[in-house]
Amino acid sequence: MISALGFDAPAVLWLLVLGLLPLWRHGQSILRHPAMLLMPEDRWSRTLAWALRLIGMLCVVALVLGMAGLHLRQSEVERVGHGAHIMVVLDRSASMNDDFAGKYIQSTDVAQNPSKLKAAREVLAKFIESRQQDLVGLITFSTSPVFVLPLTHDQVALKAALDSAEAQGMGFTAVARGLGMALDYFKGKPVTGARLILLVSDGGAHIDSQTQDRIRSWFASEHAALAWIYIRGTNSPSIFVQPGEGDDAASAPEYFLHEYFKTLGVPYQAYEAENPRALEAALRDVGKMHNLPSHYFEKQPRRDLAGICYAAALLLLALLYGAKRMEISQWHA
Amino acid sequence: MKQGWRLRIAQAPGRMLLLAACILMLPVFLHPQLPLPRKVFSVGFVIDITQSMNVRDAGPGGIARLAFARQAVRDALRHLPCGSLVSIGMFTERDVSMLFKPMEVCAHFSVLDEAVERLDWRMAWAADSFITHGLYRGIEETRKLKLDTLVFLTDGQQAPPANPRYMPVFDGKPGEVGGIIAGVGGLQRQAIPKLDENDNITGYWLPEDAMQFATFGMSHVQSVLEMEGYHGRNAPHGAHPEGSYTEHMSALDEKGLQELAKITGLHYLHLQDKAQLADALRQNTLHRQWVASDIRPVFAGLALLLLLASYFPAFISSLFKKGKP
Repeated sequence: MISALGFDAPAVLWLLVLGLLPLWRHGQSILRHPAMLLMPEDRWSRTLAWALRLIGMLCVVALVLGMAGLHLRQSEVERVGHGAHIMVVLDRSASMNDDFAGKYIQSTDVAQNPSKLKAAREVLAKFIESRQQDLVGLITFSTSPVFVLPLTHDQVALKAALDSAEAQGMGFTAVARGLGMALDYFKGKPVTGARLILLVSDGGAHIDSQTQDRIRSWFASEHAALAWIYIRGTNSPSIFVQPGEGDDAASAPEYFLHEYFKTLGVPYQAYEAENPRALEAALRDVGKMHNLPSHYFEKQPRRDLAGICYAAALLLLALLYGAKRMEISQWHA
Repeated sequence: MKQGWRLRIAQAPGRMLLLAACILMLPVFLHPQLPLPRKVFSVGFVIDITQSMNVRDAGPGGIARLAFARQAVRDALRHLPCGSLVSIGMFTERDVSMLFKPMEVCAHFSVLDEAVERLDWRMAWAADSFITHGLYRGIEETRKLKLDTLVFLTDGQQAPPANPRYMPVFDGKPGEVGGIIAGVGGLQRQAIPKLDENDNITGYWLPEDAMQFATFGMSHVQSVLEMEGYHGRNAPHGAHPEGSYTEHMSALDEKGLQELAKITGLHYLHLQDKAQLADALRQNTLHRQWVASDIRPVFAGLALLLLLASYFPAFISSLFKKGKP
């Protein structure tokens, strides 16, 4: 509980030493009395004197705590809701810069004709925004996978990461390593929600059989489902249609990648998105399918306690003032 | 009237001081704010993830340069004041790639911290290391993201050797983007390890594994006959090209980095302890922003002074009596 308290300026706490002052000084004007020794000892007076000292000390403490910026730290409260832990594995190879028709985007017609990457980024951003209870992470890949964000509720961070996911002028080769990195992230962590790896790409790549086996076993041991949103350009082959004879994993990698994913033994869905709207529909469907009970954390914003300290200080000051008003300044016979 | 106040304070100092303290506390509840200059930073951290960064000669304990660079950045993140903006990027080949747009450091600390922790040499999209190109690109990215400081952590290793006649020209204004080139690693040349999946060392780069001399555009002879073993396409450098033949080894190239620092207006710092980076940042960036600041402590502080003064009634009273004849 104590660790939940924080100070903006902890150095100010040194002033707490001043709280000892009322122990040393009583702060009352001394009136001479000709026969002090004759006055009877008064228990109530003594108690009152100590009470005033105590109030003075508390008042100093309240003021110092307020000045130090006492607050309750931002905390997280665990909740159970519906959602999933989604690791997005996003393709940013050079071809993602083309539009859906397969043309390289001219800067003039970006508005009507977004590049595949831009469309994917926007749709993903909307998807993430609509799913507050999901934990989402991001890995991007082209020639190599890049770990961008861990699973998080931090919507601002996810947006900042999607915004800067630019295509790199390189080939699409690291899909296996991208998936491996996502699975590796889950490794060793307790399963507190439905795990989903969401692959968003516009192409496939051949994965050699040894790597295939390794990825298959990782999927099984991490209990992760897979969804592949294949952003299909107009001239790209379909992943659902068997290519003609003579085509193999090298000439039609998408189809064979899809066939391989089907053998993973974990829940797997594939979507072909030929335009941004189809992309959105696919994501919506993924969302529906992966709406399982899961633990998530809700952020409790930081709470200022300085105001309470100041209010307490004012009350104590008023008490001291009241006491001072009742002090007499001379003896009345 | 003024005399009257003086007299009343002289007569009942405690009471008047406490009354003033109470009155001073009242504005506190209106949450007064005043724009005050505050030191906040906007920093792009770029870490070199080329393979020479795997040499284990950095920091006090002699850990991998990359691991040490990560530690230093994470330490710096922890010391940046709230309100500072941070982006993280990596350098390999000739390019810098930033992971995300700048984010506020306190609210997004956990993701920033983990992103740095997971920067890995396996994320490199190519194995070359053209340090000059990389640094200039880093400065360009920093400016594009509207950050004013770049922290570039590298060992300065150039691989393969570059042709000094074809170096990129720095086209920014020196000092427009300020910041630090943080050199990591030791000055003694070390073999560059090859790592397996679990970062165990499986061997070292051998002389024949690394390009020992620059090949690009090296032909500058007027006559082919002047150069033994010259071949326009296959051996433009001749049969016995000049080279140090130590390119498979790596040491922190302080001279090169200092040179680059001079060109770009950045500060060079040999990072030997991870805590140095946060300190250097504090010294080398002087960016003040006007931030609406809570000034309640000012009122509370004055009230505290008056409260304390009320414990010295005789002294206060004598102060206000003095003026009177």
